[in-house]
Amino acid sequence: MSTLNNLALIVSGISCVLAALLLLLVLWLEWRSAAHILSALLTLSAIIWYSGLLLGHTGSAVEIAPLVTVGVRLAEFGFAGLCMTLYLFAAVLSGSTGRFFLWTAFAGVVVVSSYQAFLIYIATDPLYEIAADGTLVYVYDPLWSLTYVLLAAATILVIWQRHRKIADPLLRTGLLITALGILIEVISPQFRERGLSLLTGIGGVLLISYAQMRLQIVRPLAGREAELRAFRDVGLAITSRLRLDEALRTIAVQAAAMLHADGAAIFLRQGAALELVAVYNMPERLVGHRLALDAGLAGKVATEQRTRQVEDYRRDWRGTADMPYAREAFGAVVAVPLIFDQDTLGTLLVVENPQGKRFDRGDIRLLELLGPQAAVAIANSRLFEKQQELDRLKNQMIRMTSHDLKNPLFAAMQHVELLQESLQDAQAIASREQVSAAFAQVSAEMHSDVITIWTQLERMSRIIRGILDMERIQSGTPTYESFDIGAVISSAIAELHDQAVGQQISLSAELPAEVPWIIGDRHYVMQALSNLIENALKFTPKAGIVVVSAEVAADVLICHVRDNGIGLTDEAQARIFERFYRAHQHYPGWEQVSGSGLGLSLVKAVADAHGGRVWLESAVGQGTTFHLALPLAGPDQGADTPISA
Amino acid sequence: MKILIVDDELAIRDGLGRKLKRDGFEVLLAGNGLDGLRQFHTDHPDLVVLDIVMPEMDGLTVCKRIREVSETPIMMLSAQAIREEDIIDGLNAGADEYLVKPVRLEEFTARVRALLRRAQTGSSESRPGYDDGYLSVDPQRRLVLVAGEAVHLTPTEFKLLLVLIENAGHVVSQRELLEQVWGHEYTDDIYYPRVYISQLRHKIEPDSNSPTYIQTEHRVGYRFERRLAGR
Repeated sequence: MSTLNNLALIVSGISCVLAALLLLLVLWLEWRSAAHILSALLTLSAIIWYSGLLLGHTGSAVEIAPLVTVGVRLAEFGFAGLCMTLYLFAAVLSGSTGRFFLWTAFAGVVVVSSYQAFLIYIATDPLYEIAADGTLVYVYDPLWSLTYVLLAAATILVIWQRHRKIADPLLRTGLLITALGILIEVISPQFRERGLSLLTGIGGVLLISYAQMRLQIVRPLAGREAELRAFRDVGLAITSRLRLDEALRTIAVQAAAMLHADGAAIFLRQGAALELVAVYNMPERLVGHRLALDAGLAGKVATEQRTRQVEDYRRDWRGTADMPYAREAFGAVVAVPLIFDQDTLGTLLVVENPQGKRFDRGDIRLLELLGPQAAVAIANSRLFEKQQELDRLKNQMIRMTSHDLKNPLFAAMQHVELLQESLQDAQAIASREQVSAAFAQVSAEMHSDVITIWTQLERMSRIIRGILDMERIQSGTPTYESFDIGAVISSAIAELHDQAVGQQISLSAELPAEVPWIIGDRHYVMQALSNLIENALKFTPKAGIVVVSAEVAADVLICHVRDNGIGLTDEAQARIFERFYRAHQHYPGWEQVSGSGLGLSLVKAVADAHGGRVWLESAVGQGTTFHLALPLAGPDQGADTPISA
Repeated sequence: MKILIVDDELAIRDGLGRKLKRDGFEVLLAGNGLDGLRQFHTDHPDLVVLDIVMPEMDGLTVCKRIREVSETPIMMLSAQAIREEDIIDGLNAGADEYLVKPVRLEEFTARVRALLRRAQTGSSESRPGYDDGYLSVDPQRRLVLVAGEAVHLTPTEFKLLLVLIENAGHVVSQRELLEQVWGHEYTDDIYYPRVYISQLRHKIEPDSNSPTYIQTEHRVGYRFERRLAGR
């Protein structure tokens, strides 16, 4: 027995143990996949082959014939298994498995095992002899030799043809080396005797196990961080698109990019059908293609709400084609449902061309993570577009209010004014000419009617103005300047002075000697203050007081409008700034106070537009104080704005 | 006094017209911008009231066409304006006044009277003139020369310039300007002076971005600075 042979046996032994250990790791992670089972069988076969040879050599060394017989038979059994599992493994990895592949493979294993069992049963001894130097020399049956050579050649052919599908070069090399080992074992008795073929074959198996471990364990671990980062970027890209068509397009592009796939498509539910709404790397004219809700892979996934993977669309997908030319153009496909709030919005398909790679577990996991994000982004965009449409309708409505409603209102008001004047003239003539008391009675009634019409028209005009002001503040950009808030408070008080006197309310200002200037839109601020004061006047009984004061707190100026009026309940306080909310409707005796329900919501809009704040303190029967905080002007701000006195 | 009202809403121009007639004005009515412009050329009114949104020709265009040939005071009347910029656009087109609907008839006639009063050149004649060789203002002949060339100023611009010259070297507050140029009805229309000052600077300043004559006095108002002749 040569030293080389012994060395080969030792090295192969170590390799076998290593390969088995590595394989255990992979199986521990996932044992249900066909590729993993086959690689396990491959390693097991190699170990049997090796053990048989070890047994044979030991038997020949210690000259126990039955031991050699068992060893050689075991080795042959292992070798046959190795040849078959190697081919099956390569076929499964490269995806070149036909529909009856598994059955054929199973039948092959059964035939070989039965034959070996039969050989043992009829006790045919294997052909071997022990050379003079103690070397074990065995030969293969020619029929079997041919089978082994064919299997090895087929393996090499599969690897050659489908090298794109077995992406990992290490795995590819391992497969090739093992196949080479098999060829040497069968073809060259010299190398076989020296243990070189065993060394090559086992070395290949070790390489395969290592590659498998690296692919299944090391790479996913190492890649996880990068994957997470990529995933976050994709999530950001998707969710930052507000327009629906942009969001869909981005999802398609990012999904394909993330899986390094050739193309992607998104189907969305439209009533009882699915419509193709976005594609990446597919003809744009396909957009708009419709599928029944349960037709096609997309439909299946949408109805089942479950991810599906098809290894080869042309071969494996028997249902309706998802789109024209799908059978010709699609290879591997993964489809995930887009689910938001338990509702299926549609399906996301990621597609590889027929010659392209297959998707692995990691790919599918990533896409399953992306699915819900994409669904949220789509739901978001839909809401956003709906909201924009509502906004557009609102603006249109407001334009209509502005023009179509203001003109007739203006015309009506004019003519009521003219009517009032005519009536006064008529009354003057009547009293001069001493017309009957009946006319005086009628004209007095007419006069009161005209005044009622005028009051109501004015109220309508106030509401329209309120809506327009509100719209202007919320949508427009305020014209900022620094101005004297003290002067604005004074003029707001001056404006409402007559009203206060009429209601016998004391309206006054308590301002510090020097009121600092603030930054803002003078017109809006004036309006907000007027609204607060007017509101206070409205809900303060006769002989009450309304006081406007101002103070500086940090970088804001706070205006207080205090009254000792009817006060507000907790519920009213919570809702007082809502549009069209009219708290006094719930206060006995105050229901008739006129108002549009917009005054205080406008104050809040002004505060918001200035980055300020409005709040209140109130107690029923004791009064209310409103506080309006607005940013102060810095020393160098508003240097070039002309200022009103 | 002849007043032309141009508005496509029959009810509005009829109402405004009747009110002005009652108050003793002679009234001309037009239902669209083109008719309005035609009537302006045939009847030479003393004041024009213009709606903005109209068929045929809109109010801003009519206003610009009138300004090309005449300084007749123009009052814009609109339901459209909701922002200060819109109002400033109207004033920049050459209007002297901008009212937003709805407006009370009493206020409307008060503004018409104030505008007519402002347009009367009589009150300007007593004010002092100015001449430094580059800019020359002659109140009697209502003539403004800039570097020897005659410059068209609207009545409002002219009056504004005269008020500033009269107070040369002193700051005139925005409120004072409003009262003296526009009338006491206007003290709340704070953006009027700002818009007109910028118009005026474009017409008389050598460089309107760094003005020599009309200076802004921050937080107070405006001041006219004399220049020594020949410099």
